[in-house]
Amino acid sequence: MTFLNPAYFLALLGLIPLIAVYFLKVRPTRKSVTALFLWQAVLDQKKNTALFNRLRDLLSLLLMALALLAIVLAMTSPEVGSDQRKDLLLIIDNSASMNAIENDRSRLTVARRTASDIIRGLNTNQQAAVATVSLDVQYQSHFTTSPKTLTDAIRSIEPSDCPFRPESLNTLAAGAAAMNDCRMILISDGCRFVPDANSPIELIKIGSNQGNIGFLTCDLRRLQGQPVRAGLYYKLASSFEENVTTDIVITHGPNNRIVKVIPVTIKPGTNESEVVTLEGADPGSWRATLEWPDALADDNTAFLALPSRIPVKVRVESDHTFFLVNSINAFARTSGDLQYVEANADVVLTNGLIPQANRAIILGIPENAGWCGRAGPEVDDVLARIRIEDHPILADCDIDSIPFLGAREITPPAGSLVIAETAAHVPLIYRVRQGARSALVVNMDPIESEFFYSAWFPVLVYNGARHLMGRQQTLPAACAVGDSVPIPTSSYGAETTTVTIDDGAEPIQLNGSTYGPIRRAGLHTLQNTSGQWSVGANLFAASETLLDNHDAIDTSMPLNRGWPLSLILALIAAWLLLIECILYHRRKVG
Amino acid sequence: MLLTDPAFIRRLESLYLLARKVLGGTLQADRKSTRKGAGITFADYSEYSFGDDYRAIDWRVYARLDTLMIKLFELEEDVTIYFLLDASKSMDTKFLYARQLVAALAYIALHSLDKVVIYGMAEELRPVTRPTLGRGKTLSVLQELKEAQSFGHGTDFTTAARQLCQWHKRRGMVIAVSDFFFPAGFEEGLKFLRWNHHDIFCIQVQDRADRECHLKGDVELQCIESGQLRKLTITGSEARAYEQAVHDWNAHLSEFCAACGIGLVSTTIEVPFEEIIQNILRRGGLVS
Repeated sequence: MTFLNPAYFLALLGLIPLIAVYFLKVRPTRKSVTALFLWQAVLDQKKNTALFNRLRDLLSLLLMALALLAIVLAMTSPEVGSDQRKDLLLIIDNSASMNAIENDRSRLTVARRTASDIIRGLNTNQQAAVATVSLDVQYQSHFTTSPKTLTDAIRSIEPSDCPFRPESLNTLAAGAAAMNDCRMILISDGCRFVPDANSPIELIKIGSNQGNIGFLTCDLRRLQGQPVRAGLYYKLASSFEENVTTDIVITHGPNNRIVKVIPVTIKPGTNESEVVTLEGADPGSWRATLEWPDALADDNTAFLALPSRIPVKVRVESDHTFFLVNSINAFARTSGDLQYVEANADVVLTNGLIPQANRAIILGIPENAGWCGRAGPEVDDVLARIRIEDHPILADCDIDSIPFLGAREITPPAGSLVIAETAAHVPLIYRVRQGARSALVVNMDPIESEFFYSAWFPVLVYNGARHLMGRQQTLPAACAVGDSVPIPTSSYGAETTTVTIDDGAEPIQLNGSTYGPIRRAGLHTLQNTSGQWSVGANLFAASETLLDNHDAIDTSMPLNRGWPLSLILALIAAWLLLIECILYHRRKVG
Repeated sequence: MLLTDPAFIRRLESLYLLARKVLGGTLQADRKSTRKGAGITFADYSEYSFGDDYRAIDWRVYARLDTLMIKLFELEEDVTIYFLLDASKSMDTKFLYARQLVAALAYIALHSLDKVVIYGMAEELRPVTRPTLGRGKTLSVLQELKEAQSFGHGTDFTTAARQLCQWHKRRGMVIAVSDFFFPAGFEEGLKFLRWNHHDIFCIQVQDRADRECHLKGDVELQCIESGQLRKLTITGSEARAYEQAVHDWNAHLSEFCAACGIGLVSTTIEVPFEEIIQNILRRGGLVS
């Protein structure tokens, strides 16, 4: 035990006047009575407590001396252990695995309590800050000496559905050198954090290995060519030491209508993936739920979304419609993503014409290009060069093998997006927008290029029609919490998207082309002028599901926790004084 | 108030007038004796026996009944009133009040031509006044009462009673004015006086401090008479126990007096002494 202020031991000299004053204080007042013999009966009744009465004064003196001793000790600020009393950065892991229940309490609750104990143990000179970590580090309070601020910050920490990303601590570790007098303490279950000896971050380990099962991944897709059937892909994991036999209950819709119950036997560790076919795959929200009581409930349900089948209606304006119609029907018969119509079309497919429709795919630019640009003479060099790599219009399309014969020299309107061009920067494939109208222009003579015979012709029509309708980027049925997903849109980033989560939270307004990282599990619905899409966000993290922190070792250095010894001593002194007050009151007032 | 103050004496005079009114002129040395003798008031007839006074034979009865009968007359005699005034230290706060009571009763007695003797009482009897008779001695009695001092370290009522009976063989009325807090008890003394055919009347004078305990906490109790010390922590229960003990003591005194035919009046010094005197007179004088 060390004393920060040993000079205060001199205050023990106060015992001398205390004893002197005390003996003066305890002397009873003398009262004359006329009938002392009548008091004898009362005195006889009190014989039982005579010993206590004789020792009471001594006891009072002892209590006062002990109280003084406790106060003096509290003033000397005693400390047990070898805490270096540096400033502290308390990083509390609030990842999904911290929601695991152990002994009727979540690991996060234990972590918060541990952090509170550390806050209580701070001395008046120490500063501390509180941060959380899951996907990234988020500060809950700045460095302060105020225990209330720190305790409020700890109290405000909410559990999250996000997995723990140890790399998020790298920036802290890198900055540790600049913070010489600061200790970084991670309070975590250590499921993915294995600190090495040189790590500046100390780990206070919470929790132990627990039995848990959960989904590592899950997906739902319509089977190709079978629009009413869907395939459910899933992968399970278990941290139990024995096999677990249970059911996966597949439900659909907001009312959770049970569609299928799949009996499964889950082996310890990561299991092989399985695929199950679901009949009557209606669009909407789906859930796959493992019905097994385990430590972590977050990974027992997989949220999935199956998009609605809404084909892009395409009309053809051309003198020679055969190849054009067939290119559309090819996708109408298989995936159903395109539909040939003769009226009310979403997209118009033309050959050498500039249509008045709002969305158009124009194969071969006429001499009078209209709003699609200013056309010139044909060019000789038609070797295509891709200007925008990985553009969705060129997906699954070998552009190098397409001869762009009959291509004209053309100047597209300002704001057009050139996707492929010649070496002389003559646009070969470009997207043009003017007001509400947009078009994908393929600068070639399709007949001269024999493009209708090319395998890439229907692919380019398919990609172009879906791109113009903003449906080329579809959302997956499920994604992991922490991932980002592209926002499907036909307005090229200038659109506001509203995100609604099925847990009843307030909708979020987004601008941009991606949504994420997603931080909450559940069914997320994105809505903008181009349409409405859903995606299920799930934990999908083996480190969280397996709850394996066997390799994590508590590396924390000595640290004072709980109420400071000086405060405990002060409380003891207060209690002693209270007892003495009761005795004094009894002496003086009766 | 001094006992010889004109105002005090006027109060005593008022009490005497009241006494005359209440008792109907039977005050003048006329305490009726049970003995028969040479009085003027016919009491009874008795058969003549040898040695009787011939003059007492009622010849008319002899003529009618042929039997010698003698007339008996009530023997009228003056009575000596012995005041035993508790002069111990325990009466400190009540001593003036007790003396006022004694002064009032002595005044009435002297004006009724009774003989009055006042003793101070502690471990022993000490005379306050010599035996006094007649109205003219009233002022001197009051003066001596005024000068009376408390003495002694305790009250031994039994010894005092024995001393009184030794000093005064003649029976009379004994009026004891005290708080009756006698550690050795009051029973023996009262019994002794009664055995000696005295009429006894007790006036118990206490104050509020005697009956109620307002002490709290640690106190060192000191007996005001003996100086004996006892340490005690007084809580509510102890205070109540003491008050109950006082109540029991007084109740025992009351029961004992009732059982023995002894008159008793209990009062506290907060009650004006005239009220007590009036109370005594209205109850029929000092005859129990």
